[in-house]
Amino acid sequence: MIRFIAGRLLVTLPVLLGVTLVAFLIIHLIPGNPAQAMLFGANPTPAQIHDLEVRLGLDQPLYVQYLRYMGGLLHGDLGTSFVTQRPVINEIVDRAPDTFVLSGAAMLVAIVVGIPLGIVGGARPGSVWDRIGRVVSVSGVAIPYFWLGLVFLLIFAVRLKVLPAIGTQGFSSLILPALALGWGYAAILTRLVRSRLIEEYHDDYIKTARAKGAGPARVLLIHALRNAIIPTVTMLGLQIGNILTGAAAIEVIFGRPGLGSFLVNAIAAKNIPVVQGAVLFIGIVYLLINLAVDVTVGVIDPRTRKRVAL
Amino acid sequence: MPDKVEQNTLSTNAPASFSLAASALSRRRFLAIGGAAVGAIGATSLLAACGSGASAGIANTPSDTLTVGVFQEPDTLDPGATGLALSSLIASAVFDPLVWWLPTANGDKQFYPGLATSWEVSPDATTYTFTLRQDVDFHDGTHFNAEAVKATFDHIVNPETKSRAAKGSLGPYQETRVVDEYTAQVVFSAPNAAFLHEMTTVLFGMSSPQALQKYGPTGFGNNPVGTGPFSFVSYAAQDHISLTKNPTYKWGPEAFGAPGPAKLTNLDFRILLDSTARYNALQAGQIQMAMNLNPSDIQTIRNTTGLTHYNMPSTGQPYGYPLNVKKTPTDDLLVRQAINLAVDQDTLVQSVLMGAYEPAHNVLTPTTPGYDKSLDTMYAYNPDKAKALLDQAGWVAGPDGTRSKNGQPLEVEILIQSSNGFDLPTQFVVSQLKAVGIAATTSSEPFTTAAQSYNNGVQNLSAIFYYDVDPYLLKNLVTTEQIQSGFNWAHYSNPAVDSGIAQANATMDDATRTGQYQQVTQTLMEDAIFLPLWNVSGIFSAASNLKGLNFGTTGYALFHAAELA
Repeated sequence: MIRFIAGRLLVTLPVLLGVTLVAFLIIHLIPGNPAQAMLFGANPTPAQIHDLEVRLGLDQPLYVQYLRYMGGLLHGDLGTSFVTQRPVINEIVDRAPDTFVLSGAAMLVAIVVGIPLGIVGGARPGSVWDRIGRVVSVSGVAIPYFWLGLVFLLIFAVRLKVLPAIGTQGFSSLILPALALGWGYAAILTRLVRSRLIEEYHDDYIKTARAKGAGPARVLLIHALRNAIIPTVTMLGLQIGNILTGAAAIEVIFGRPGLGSFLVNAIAAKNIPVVQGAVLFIGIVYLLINLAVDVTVGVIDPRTRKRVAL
Repeated sequence: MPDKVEQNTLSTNAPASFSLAASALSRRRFLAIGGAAVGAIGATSLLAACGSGASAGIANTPSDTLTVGVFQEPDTLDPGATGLALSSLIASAVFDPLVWWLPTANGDKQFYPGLATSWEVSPDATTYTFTLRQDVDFHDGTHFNAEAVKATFDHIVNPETKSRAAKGSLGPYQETRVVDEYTAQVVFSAPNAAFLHEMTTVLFGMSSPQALQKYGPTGFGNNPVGTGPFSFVSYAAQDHISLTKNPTYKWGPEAFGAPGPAKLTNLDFRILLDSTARYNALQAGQIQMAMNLNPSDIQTIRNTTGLTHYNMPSTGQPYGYPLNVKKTPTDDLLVRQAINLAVDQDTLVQSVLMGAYEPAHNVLTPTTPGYDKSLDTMYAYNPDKAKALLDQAGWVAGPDGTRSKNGQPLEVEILIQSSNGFDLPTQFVVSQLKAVGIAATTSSEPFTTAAQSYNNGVQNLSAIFYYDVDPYLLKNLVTTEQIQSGFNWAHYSNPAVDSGIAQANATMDDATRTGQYQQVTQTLMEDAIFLPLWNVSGIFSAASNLKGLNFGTTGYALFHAAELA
């Protein structure tokens, strides 16, 4: 297992390198001069703009800027925000917890709602619970999360005034954003678990288990569900990226300070070190979570370990 | 300082805080918590539904804490360094100017003593002498005197401060002389009549010399120390700024009533970038005041009992489009005049902006000194006249109505700043231009990117609005030196206008000066370098029990006497 994890970590490195390179190139492709933007309104002379460019290292060729950035990175230095002049790493650490709590809560909503509905739907297709599950999954896939968030706000915060409209104080402030963000993923999970379970039920080993006298509960929990859940766990890992992206919009609608809205603002202001730092950070989180997913799948299904080991 | 009061009935029933650590709880325990929370939602929503009935109003409660939802992250809390009007709003609560210049009930403006009891300007407008109050202390306990005046102005011109607005407004600053402990002289190397108005803005709010020393030219922005009615408590990036009452305050302007400390104990600014989030928070009672809501939401607020909308006139340049005089086809005066005649600002404001603003017909807003009302009718809406001018310029209408000359279609490029309120109005303008045969393409960029495109002159129509207190603002908007890297997005270069503005700023006599500026604005209007749309103003929506608000020259709220009764 240790060899497996070490191997996966090694594969991660070139991916991260690619992430830094892509983030670097994209932000430089956007037109606009950050130095001019920073001095805007102060009526700078071209000489003043040039001075600032030199100080920020923006006068160097692109590959020099990239190598400098990578050099700093190897020393754990993500650079300094153009706007606040604070180290980027501090800015990220300040905001990451709120985003993780929101994403985690949304994931929890997805699991707590999606998996049970998927199981009852898959075990008893056509039952009342299956029909409820299908309503959840169709609505969740069809309704965009930001629209759902606005509707929740209108009903629970503006009309009924039972939940706060904005902020991050207390559990109550988490309910609406987590539901809005998690609903769509609950829908995906419901559909996935349901269809996998129905497939598994048609497999030969289930017939064998039944022939050996296993009851419906044992067939479901010990045999069918264990196989059906593997792709679900993988899918959860892949959705982390989407949930983090979704958090950006949800954070803006619900007035929550977080990594998502922070990154969007930085892109608009062409705050290059912040964009690079935030993209890299999100990339690392994404890769680590997927590593954890692979390990989990390895635990559930020993076959995959042999397949992935280098 | 206590946390902001959350208007949230659930918080007493549900766990006070929630983090990922909850997933470490046993499943059973967690489900129990979840069940309790869901139960609480059900119960309270029923109660709330019974209580509120069908009323669409909101219930206001007295409070000693006012929370204001603002639309932007401040770049700094140092008024001398900021480039954002929003930072000025917050700074106005923490800092005092030497002199106040405030709107009066009859639409005029009047000077009031602030930290200076009297002031005198030399006839050549180069030396301003201030006699200071002797009983003023900063929030850090240090005493206010002429040294503090010198420290404040020297801080602004210090290159380390990277001042974005104050330094420009200060003009040709030379030095501050400390004549005696309570007399300070601000000296300019060239005449600067605009300073008479500029000195009243919070950009020149008096800053504690000790704090400037202690935190340094950039650190002061995170630790602002002034003499204002509220002192700084904390700033959580992207979240909120907290201020608390300054109990010793007694040097507010006479216009705000009897001198004394603020009535509110706490003043919080919540940063809510999304205007719908601000609207929801106001409706939910989590904030009691919201800035710059969407016109459609403003319309709802006007019809909601318990909420009041404020549209306070500001000095400055209206929202509008500078017309690029260097790029075809807007390099032709007749085309620019036709564009001005083709757009009906009154209908724009009524139908697109839902009457939330005032239509504009001039290069300056009506409350700005130098505004000339007679120029408002120069381009009164007249599509027929616009068509005639285009015919005269040789642009012939084709079968589909679009005009062309020598095979070239008459087409203008509009480049707007995203998220500054221009999107819908621009669609309206495009349709009006089309009606007279001008085709228009529209694109949108974030401010940073757009500003550089504007300086490069890639567009025919750019988008701008400008808050300032003196007509000298025109120097930033239309003079030759501002084309390359400033706000002269019309790329307009007219030596007569350049020297006219400089001359007006060297004239101390009010009437003469106003006349000179009116001459300048008349030239600008005749040259049709700007399509005005609607006037800049302070746009606030608030709980109706918020009383005692005052508004400054730029329409921004002042909280000295505010209370939630």
